[in-house]
Amino acid sequence: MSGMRRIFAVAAGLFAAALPGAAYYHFVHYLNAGNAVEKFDLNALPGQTVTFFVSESDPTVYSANDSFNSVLSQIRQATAVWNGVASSSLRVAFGGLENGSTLQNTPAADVVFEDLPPGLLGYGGPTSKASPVTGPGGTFIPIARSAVHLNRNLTLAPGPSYLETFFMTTVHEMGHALGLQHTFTSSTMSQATTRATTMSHPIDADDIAGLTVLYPAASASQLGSITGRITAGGQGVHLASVVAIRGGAGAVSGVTNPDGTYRIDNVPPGPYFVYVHTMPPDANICGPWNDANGGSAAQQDGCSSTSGNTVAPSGPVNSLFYPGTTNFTQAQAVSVQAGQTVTGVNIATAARAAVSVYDAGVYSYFANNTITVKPAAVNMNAGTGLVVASAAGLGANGQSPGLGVSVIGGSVTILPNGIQPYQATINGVPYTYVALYLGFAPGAQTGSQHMIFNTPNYMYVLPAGMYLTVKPPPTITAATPNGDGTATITGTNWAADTQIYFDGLRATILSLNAAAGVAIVQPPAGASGQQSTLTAYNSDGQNSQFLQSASPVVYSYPNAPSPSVVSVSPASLPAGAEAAVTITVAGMTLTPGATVAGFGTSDIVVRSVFVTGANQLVANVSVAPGAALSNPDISIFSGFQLATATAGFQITPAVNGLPAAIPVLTNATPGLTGAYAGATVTVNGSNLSTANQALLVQVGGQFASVISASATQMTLQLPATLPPGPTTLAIYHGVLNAFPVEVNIDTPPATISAVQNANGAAVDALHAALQGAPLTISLAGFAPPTASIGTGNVQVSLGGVIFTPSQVVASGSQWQVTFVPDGTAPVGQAEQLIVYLNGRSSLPVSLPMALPNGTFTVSTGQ
Amino acid sequence: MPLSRPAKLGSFLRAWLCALALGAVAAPAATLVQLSLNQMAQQSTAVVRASVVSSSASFTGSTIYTHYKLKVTETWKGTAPAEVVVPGGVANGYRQSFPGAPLLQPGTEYVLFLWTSKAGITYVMGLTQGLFNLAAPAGGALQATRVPAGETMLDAAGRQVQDHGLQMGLAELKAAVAQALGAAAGSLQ
Repeated sequence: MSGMRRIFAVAAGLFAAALPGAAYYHFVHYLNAGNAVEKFDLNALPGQTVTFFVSESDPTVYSANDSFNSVLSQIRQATAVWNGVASSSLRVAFGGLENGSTLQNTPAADVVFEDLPPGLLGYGGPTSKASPVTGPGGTFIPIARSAVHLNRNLTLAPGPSYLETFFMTTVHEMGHALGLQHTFTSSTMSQATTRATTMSHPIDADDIAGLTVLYPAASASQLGSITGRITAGGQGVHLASVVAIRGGAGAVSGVTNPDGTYRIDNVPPGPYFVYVHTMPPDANICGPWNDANGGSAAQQDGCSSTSGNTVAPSGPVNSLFYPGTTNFTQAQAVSVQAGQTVTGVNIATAARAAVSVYDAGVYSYFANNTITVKPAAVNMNAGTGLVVASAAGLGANGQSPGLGVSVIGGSVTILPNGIQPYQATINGVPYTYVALYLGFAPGAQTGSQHMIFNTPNYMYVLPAGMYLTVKPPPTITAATPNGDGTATITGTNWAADTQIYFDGLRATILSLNAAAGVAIVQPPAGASGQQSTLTAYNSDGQNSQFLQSASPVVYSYPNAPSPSVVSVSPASLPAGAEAAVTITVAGMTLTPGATVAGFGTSDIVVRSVFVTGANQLVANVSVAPGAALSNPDISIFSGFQLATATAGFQITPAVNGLPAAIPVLTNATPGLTGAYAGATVTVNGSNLSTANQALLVQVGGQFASVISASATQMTLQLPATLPPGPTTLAIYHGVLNAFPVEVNIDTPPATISAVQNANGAAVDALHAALQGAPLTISLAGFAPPTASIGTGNVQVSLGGVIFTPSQVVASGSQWQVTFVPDGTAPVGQAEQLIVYLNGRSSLPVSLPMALPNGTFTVSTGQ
Repeated sequence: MPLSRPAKLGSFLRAWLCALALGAVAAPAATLVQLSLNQMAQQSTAVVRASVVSSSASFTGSTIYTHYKLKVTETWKGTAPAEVVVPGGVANGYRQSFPGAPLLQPGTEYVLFLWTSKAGITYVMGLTQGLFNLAAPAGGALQATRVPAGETMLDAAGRQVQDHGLQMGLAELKAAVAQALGAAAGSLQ
């Protein structure tokens, strides 16, 4: 029996009972009961939110025009990227600065700047308790605290902080901190050698799938799965990477169990080609660990797959597309449906001596070939293209002559004789590259292009190896303050969706003429004297730093007083409290939507922030019931401006029975959304009511009718005269007052003023709508007449069935929504009709819905 | 379509490769900056040939470090340290995992390019870049081998570049280090 076969047999024997593996690759432990991954325990996180804090020990060495404010803005943006994964129930927040002496009991993550040895710029990962716990979602290893370590010297790459590379590095390391390991799909969690994500597209389908596996939200049910088994010589292959790929979209992957089974979850619906490949020898993954006998805590086994109690991968295998080919034209697509699992996608491959090609990168060149960009950005309007591919093993040992390269999707072709090996020697070390000459098909699509490299005896797939554009990279040529706080920015090669960034923050674009390359923008609030580096980002993935990193345009902010925190009220809260904290600042301008409040401890989560004035905000905070008693820092950010109050807050002991209301009002009427005056809403919390005591609730100073109440939820009817906007919710449960919280009262809902059929006749209680016949709904108070509303923003619910409208148009002060209630529309004398705009409901009306023949009864034919 | 390497292709590749050669290089879940052999020799505080005797892990602040005790057989630069640390490991019932952090095997012999911080902590340069395994092929001389780093590696301009493994004879490596240190000393005069 060969060594590899022995590994197959041993692994399969040890873990034949292991549960199917999860999509993506996490920090995995094999237990007697199955697989367990390291992840945050959502039940231990207030608001299911993990907060990243930044050590007060900021970087000590900066490049010109770089600053701590810029660094913090990038870290904030990086947390926002992970927070934006809608299919994940984990929320990710930025908690500002933290004092190292602050005791904290709630799991969180820290960004630490420290002296690192030369060559090491940063690293990140989780710290987990060695013992698994079992919750409703299964057994897992809870992350106690995660860390991202960055170098204090930001003159070294990936700094300075305003570069895309610093941002993308931070996003990558944060992914590790959340429980993700490396993947091989060119996503953000791929190693930099193959990573293809950009500031404009910072995470890809695989990153989203990986996070969603750990923290699935309800919306994940709209995604699909692929399962199967990978074998070599009839034995299951352990730790092979299985990838689902399709043209025009990101790849999604999974990793095989010891018995070769795999499961790729959270795959967006569509047709996919599935391939298996062996991880590269420098994959740098941790584990999986064999904790079946509780060995985890006993060994210092680091991350290596060959260490301690880690379970070794099977040996290398041939890469193959399903059902078993290296010829992509013979690959068989599988169709993934929402909420469905495609099973039996098995691939029988064969063992090989080594992974002969890996870690590919494809480069393009600008500025007379003096600037390199990876992944390659190729302007297909240039007629033909030229890129250079580099990979370990690619082109070496005479393989290049037999090399074939193809691109999935048909937009790009390799021209005849368009594969040119190129060898060079640097410092005595030979390097081999391959020049690729490209042609573009008529109607070629822009965006990522997946590439397949076939050597005479191996296939290597590089997802998103390059991307097609229709214009060169953008530039910024000048930035001029206008005297009114706005700035005029000029440049070239812009598009209608070009974004202008000041360091790591996006400016608000007030007007943009892409053809002329002129934009009027509102810069983010700047720090005193800040020199901010400007970057233009096009949604095609290109940015102005491609060409201008050596001499970017800089915007100078004026000198201003130092920001400070003037007052905090209340300045202390007991553990377990929910409260609105009013903070007044000086020397800075608070901007709605751009203001962040941090409380310097993971035991306090900021649920929401309302800017109530240029120098005042109200932050709804939640103090964990098990919070450590501490005096954390407060930090307030607006744009780049930062005001801090060291030890400016205090957590005091919990108060027994203290009512605490989570400041979220949820419409209690089925099908309706919005918390507006007169609406019936629910509020969740703790200790909301006590036995035999009347519960008194005030909203905006007016008493609300309490319809029902328990300790954890109450249902209210909001006062009918409440004006829209933030207001105070106060509770007295007969013994104690809750700390007031700030809630938002929504604008009144739209009303349906008329429903007409295609002939313009009214549909009402006496005139039924018919299945298959278009209906036009007239709405008042729906949106301003000048609003830009697409059909994708609007949904129509008829009897609980959702329809997408065919037309949405303004008509005077009203809007008209046209849709066709097809055969799925329920038939009845009074079906509820609701129109949603970006999820916000109108008031409902009832109408009769009939069959196409005008009757309400389906004939049985009997 | 030119069949031979066009001049234009050659010029831009030369420019690119020069940039690659001049730039720094780095490692995974870690982000590394690429270091040349000369840079590693010159920026290190010690270069040693050593075997790992034992390992243990403990917290330093909030970070777990795995401490490897070394038996140093040759010191090529600086003062031989008693141990080197690698971030991550298992201590006090907690596991800290940093993808890209290397694992040193007790009983295995290495050439290590080391860097000691002001706080007195000795690291391997660039996580994996400063770690060369020593092994002899059957009947051959000792070879020093460094695997490529799959981690994020960036050049001096912040662009991502590809690392390449290194393999050379132990004597050749020792000579290269001596030459680098000699060149550095000469440049100071």
